[in-house]
Amino acid sequence: MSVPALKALFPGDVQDTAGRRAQLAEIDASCRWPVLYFFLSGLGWLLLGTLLALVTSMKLHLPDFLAESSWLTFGRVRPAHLNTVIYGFASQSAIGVCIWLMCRLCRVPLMAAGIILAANVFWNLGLTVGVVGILVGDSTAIEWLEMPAYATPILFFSYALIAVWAIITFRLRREKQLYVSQWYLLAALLWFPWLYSTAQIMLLIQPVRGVVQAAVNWWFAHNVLGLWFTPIGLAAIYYFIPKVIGRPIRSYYLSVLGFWSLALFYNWNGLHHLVGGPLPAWMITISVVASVMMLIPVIAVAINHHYTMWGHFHKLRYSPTLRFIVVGAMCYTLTSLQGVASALRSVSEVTHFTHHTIAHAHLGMYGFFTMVMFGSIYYIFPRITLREWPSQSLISAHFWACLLGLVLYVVPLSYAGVLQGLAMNTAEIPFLKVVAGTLPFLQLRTLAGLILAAGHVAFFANIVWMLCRVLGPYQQPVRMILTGTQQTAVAGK
Amino acid sequence: MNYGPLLFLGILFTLASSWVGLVLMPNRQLGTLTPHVNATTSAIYPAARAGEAQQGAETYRSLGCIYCHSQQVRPEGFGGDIARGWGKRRTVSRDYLFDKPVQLGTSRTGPDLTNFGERNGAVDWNLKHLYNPQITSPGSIMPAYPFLFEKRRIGKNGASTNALALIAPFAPEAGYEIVPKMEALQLVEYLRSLKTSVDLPEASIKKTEGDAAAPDASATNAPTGAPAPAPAK
Amino acid sequence: MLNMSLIGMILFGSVLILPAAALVALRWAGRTGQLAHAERAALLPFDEAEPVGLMTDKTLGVPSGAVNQAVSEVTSVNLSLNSKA
Ligand code: HEC
Repeated sequence: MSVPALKALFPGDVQDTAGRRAQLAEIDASCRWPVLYFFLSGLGWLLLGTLLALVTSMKLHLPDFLAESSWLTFGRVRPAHLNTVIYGFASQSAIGVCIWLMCRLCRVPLMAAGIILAANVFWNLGLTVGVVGILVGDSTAIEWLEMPAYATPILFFSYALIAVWAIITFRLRREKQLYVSQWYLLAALLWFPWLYSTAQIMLLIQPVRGVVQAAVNWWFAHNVLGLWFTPIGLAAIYYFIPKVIGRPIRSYYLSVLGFWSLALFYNWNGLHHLVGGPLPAWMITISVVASVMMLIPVIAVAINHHYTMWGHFHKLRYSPTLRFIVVGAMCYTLTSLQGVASALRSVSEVTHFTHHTIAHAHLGMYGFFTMVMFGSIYYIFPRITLREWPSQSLISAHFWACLLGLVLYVVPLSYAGVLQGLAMNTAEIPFLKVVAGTLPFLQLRTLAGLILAAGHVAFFANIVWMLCRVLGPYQQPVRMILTGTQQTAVAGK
Repeated sequence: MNYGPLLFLGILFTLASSWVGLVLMPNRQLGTLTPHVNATTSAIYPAARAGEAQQGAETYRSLGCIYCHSQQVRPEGFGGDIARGWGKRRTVSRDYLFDKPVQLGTSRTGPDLTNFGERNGAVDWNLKHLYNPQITSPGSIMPAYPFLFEKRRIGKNGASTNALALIAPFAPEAGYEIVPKMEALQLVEYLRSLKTSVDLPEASIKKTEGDAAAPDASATNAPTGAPAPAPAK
Repeated sequence: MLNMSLIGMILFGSVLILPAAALVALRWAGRTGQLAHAERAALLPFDEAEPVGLMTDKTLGVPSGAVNQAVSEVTSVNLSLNSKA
């Protein structure tokens, strides 16, 4: 179908309040099942990933735990955890948020829902094959790319469907002006397939020689964070903070500066994972320099978000979305600064190879990205299902468990990493003594993991409860009227 | 702002830059690297791994040893790698020419293994260590790999020659023995093959005070004849 | 090292050409008045139904007695918007 023909399917622009409400309601309703599928399967993987995380964490201080089974040996459970939470939970909730944001900002109802549903089915299929592949021993042992080569094409196909869908939606948008969130979303959607296909071809299909593999590996792995998760997370922050508090972003110029400096510098960062490693110095130096340049986008974003929130912090009390997103935004700043610091040669000399890196990764992927996704889900879920969140206490329990677990995870383990690194660099300290020094922190990490897991269970309970209501009879969602959204329009239709 | 095409180009161009810089350029510079041939002995380094050891590398990959063990030695004076005896010189690109996949690693929950074959090639120690690290290194947090071994009833002809010599509390109940499976033997062959102490033009071995700088107890938990030093506390 | 020179030249060239292109683009944007309207894009998440000034999420901590109050708040915001239009 040609573009004009498709456009003709949609009614013309609406300018009055009732028309706008009807439009929002129509868009949200059209997103219901596709977005729901991505959120729900994402959450399923989150629960599995949390379980694998606990097993992994316990194995580090109880090495005999589940040691009899080759499927559950540390070197397999750990990548299985990473792949379930990264490609299962984080990517799928990211895609869900991405779909909804795209529709809202383009002001078009979701079209071709079949493509999205097919993509969801293939994504979960590919992932299942991949994770089972890791557990039975077909892991590639290439970090962030452990899923065996027989699983990844399925994922790539699914991904291609989503990108095609997004580009169609983008082309057919009714709102011609672009908001900064759309820049980030579009960029992420175009960057990811490039990264993924390059890595697949150069590492699995026709592996390059020697340490070039390491260069490609870290170019990919860091860019998954920088050019896939970070832009989608920032897109959500740029949308939800203004949207929830009802105040436009403080400086649009700054947000544009932030976008382009991120695009320029982030993708050069990867090889700071190889400081001191067996690659020519110029490659690593370029990455260290680019890592320091990341201060520009990070500070631009931090200032912008802080000044947008200024004078509105009391609203945190009422909005779970705002709570999660603001914590996420703060963690973005913190983890980025930590990242810049650990890219420096003198710091890397100590912290590289230690648990510090693990703490840093969780501050980024959990503190920043996962929190932002939780916040977004709290906003989107009631709007696409037209149901209230059943329990406010479960929401609070989820939030506080996440926050407490996060602090308890990241702070002690970051510190432990520094101690571990300093001890390891002192050759007189026997290795097993270095190991013994980390043990209390590894135990504390299991405790933190348990708290996070409790938070996830609370979240999941609330969602299941809500789904029961979705399947039950329609109830007028009272609290959502507070938000002045589409309810009246739906009721009046 | 409504500059879809400009945005699109910008997005593609930015990533293209690092794709050229960090992927294609390294490949051009390093993809043609060749092994080093010693002018006097015409020994070739590195050489591709022999069958057994190569099989072992696959087991190493499959069991994810990389998540606790690195295989790279940082330069003298940068970190404690050389002081700990993890290598005599820093590792360079050429050392990894034939590794598929290259397993540099990003974690040192366990010691670096670049030169493990030079530190401790004792098959018996390694088998016991894999069967249960507590036998050789009490207090270790390395997982045990009992599934690489087979528990068998001792036959009429007495214990097998390759059965592990275990004492309580690690020995199986009376009448049984623990025998390494093929994977365990291959894995140990691989570990024994990890050696990089070859002078290269780009990374030469510093010769100081003879071999007095040999690995001390802190480098490894491997015994030098005597049992491994017990960890303090 | 020789075979790097082609890529080296491309990189060097792009170092010169890129900022130049950026400058030209900036001048063009300024002359055609695009920068003047840039801040307007910040209003895109809002519309007549959910205008600036309206908080759109109060899931927590609002006693149900306050619901009616809030509903009338919303209506009055919308009314004032309509009367402006
Ligand atoms: C949970 C982390 C962990 C995993 C996974 C792990 N190791 Fe270890 N490894 C250690 C620790 C800690 C030590 C030091 C204490 C000891 O000797 O057991 C060690 C020591 C070793 C040593 C002795 C090194 C020396 O210098 O003394 C070898 C060899 C070794 N591991 C091989 C392996 C192999 C092969 C695998 C995969 C099958 C593996 N390790 C998986 C943590 C790990």
